[in-house]
Amino acid sequence: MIVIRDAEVFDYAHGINGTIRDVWVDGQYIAAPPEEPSGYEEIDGKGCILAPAGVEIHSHIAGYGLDSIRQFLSNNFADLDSLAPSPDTIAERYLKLGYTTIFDAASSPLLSLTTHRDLDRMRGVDRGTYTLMGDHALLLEALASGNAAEIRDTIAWLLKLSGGYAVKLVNPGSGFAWKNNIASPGLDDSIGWNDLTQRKIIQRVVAAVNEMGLPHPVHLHARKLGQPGNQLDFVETIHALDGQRAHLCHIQFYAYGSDDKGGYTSAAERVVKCISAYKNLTFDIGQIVPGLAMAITADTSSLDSLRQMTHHPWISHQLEGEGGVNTLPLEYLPADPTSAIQWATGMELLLRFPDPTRMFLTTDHPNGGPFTAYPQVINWLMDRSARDEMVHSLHPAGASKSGLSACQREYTLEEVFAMTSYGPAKSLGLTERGHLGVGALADLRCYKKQSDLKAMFENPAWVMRQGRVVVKNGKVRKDSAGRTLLVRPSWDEGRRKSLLSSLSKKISFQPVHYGLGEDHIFMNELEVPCSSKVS
Amino acid sequence: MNFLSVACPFCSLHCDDLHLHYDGGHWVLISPTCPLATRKYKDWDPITAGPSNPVQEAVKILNKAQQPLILLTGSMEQEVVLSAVNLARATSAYLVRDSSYAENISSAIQKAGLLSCTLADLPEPTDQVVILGDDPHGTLPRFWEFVGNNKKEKVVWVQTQNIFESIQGLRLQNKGLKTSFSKEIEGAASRIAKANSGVVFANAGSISENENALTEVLLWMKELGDLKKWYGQVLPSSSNELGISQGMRSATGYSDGMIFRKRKIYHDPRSFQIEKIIEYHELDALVIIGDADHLPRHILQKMEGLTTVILSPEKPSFQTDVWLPCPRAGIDAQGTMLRLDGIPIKLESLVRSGRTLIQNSLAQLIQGIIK
Repeated sequence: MIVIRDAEVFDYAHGINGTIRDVWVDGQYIAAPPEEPSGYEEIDGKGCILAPAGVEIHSHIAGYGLDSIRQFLSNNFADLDSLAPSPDTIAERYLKLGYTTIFDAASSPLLSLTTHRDLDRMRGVDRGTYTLMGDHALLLEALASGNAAEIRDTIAWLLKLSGGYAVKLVNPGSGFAWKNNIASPGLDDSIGWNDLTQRKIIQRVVAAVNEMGLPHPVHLHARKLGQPGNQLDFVETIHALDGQRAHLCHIQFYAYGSDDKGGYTSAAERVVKCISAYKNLTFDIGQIVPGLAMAITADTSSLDSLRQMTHHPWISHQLEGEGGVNTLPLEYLPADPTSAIQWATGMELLLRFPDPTRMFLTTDHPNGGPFTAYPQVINWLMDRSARDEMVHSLHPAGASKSGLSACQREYTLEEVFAMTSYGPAKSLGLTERGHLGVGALADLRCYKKQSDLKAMFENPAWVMRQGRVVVKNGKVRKDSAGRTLLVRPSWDEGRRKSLLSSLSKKISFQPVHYGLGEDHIFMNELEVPCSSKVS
Repeated sequence: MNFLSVACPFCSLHCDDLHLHYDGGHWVLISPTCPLATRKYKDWDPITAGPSNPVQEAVKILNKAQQPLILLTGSMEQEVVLSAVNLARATSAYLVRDSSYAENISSAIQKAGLLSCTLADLPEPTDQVVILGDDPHGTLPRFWEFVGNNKKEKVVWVQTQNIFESIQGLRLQNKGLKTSFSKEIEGAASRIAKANSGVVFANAGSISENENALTEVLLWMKELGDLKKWYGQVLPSSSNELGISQGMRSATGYSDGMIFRKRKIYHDPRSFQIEKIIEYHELDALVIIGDADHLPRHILQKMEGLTTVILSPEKPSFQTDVWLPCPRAGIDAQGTMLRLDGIPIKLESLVRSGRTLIQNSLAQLIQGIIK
């Protein structure tokens, strides 16, 4: 056993907010204090802050898209290293930030071997990926039929073939429409596949996933990403969910109003008012940080608009039977009014939204900037003077076209740990993570208390993963392989033959090679249970 | 009789061209069904005995070497790439490819703004197909089956010998500038201009012969990409050439031309090319991973006199210090190959040869070196 003595403990789930206490670890788990302690190791926690380890809910860290990015960045070592490092470096950096569980934001079923090649190399962390389905021909076919069992079985089968943890919808239906030269459809416009509209796709998939009891609800990337005035469309999408459980990602990119000239303004206040009412929804922010970034997305139509606006070259690779993978270099410049408004919009959303267990910290790496900027963002949230300093260093539009100056709030440590650990773990259905209750995994981060918050969050004194110290004084020990987090929802396997037959008509090779294949064996896997079974 | 078609490793289409049949309780590989695979499968000989204790011999060489070079050549499965990077890191070696043409052209096509897509998503038959270089049929026998045999009639061929002039002609014609190019060029330019979308296939082996042409091709592609929905696809000359690039980039950030020093990687694709390194740097060992006989003659000549370790499925036809026989993914080993359009295909092991996987041999080398 191990005991961490006299640390200032934060455990949002159990209402522990900076209390000085001991935390006991037995093997991989948090344990109750033994009645007659003996033969244990003691770690001195005096002057330290102890919290559950970080849980990353949305970061593009693996697969084909990262490879595209590296093609853009191969002549620029610093940006390559920051935005698209190798998988082992990504794992190491997350561990150094105190994160032990990380999720890749999107993986195409067709290219999932490439994604898992990268995930398998992320030693020392538990990791997973979300399966892109919103433009998948098999699922569109099932959705058009309206047959709930068929939808369920298609989702389950695609998760199996891709080794996915959750269902990702990216501006669903728009990829299919784009390929067929149909202008970006609205929520109720036909996407060109029978009478399917985006509203129908979202509602039917969300209903199916919730019915299947997947640990994480549908992870939704909404339409009109990054466009001025898109808050109206975003709010429309939120209402379309009709109170069902879902996660909406990088919402900073959807909280824009527009001024008289069609330019950007922050609509954070209106968006927060709308989303606060829906208690079954969770969000991550996608905060931007000044500097070079890379857009990486399956949202071909939005990126096509953006590349026409920026005149930057893009890489767009369209995939048979599904959507595409697209990348485009971006730069957020402090002197640029749009960048300043985007930065302020993210901050404003974070500061106005009251519940840190439903709004999570991300930069949508590398779309908004690198995940290694988290300590910087936390510092802006916790320290108003640091935030004001940043506002003054940006184009004045950041202040004048947002409501940020009215936000006096400073995040507390409790809130920071809730938004980086407890909240995302809960949304992901990882009941053993994000808290320090007896039986939870002993995934911990410990910081030496200091006034420089950015420095503190950049350098945990130590990080523990499942009962073993894996980072100490900035040095990483990666002697464990880490595990791939998976779901295997229940389905009617009698439908397998018809799914195979249908898939074979949509691809140019034998379905036996599709994705990971049906018999893929993960070297280190952790299956997270789903709550419902097919009767 | 039961037949089973399985994916073939011999070209970058990885069609299901190897046929197995069920014979009295077990599956037997009978024959490939395309001419290229038939020829390559016939050459494959897992029986040739290798030297005794090749790993120890190779370790001795690498332990003595102050500056080794690791060369990846021909086709190999993706799983090998990471092990090759690990060996380069462990020995502070140069790590290079024998050819990056396909990779360079592919990357440039994409950055020029042309779309790319997987084969089933190619534009409909009404659209235009342009082939730069020779007919891919020779290196990719089933190419036209994927693209659509009906499109053959609509192809604009830009032959290797006059690729520069032809592309220049197409560019000028497209811009409406008066030129004195041939009627064929005028006709081709007009067909391309009329097409709503199309696809350009660039045969890497052909274009690589003309550096000037490559620049002209890329400018032309950029102009196409700016105007309409045009797709571009490189046709690599060896199986999994693009997969090796992708694997290298995932492991190091770069696809070619690097040297490892402690934990750092220095990348200089212009200086760190096989010929230049052999000529200008003090090398004392060369490790070749992949089909060594695939190397061009001029490189083989430059290698003469270097202490050489080769890990390859076939016994090299030239003198080498150590040869570690390896299995071939898709025949006697499992492994992942990237189809030319980026789809990863997991190849199965069909027969047993008892050979050690390349990545395991490389791991043994690393272990020996560290000891």
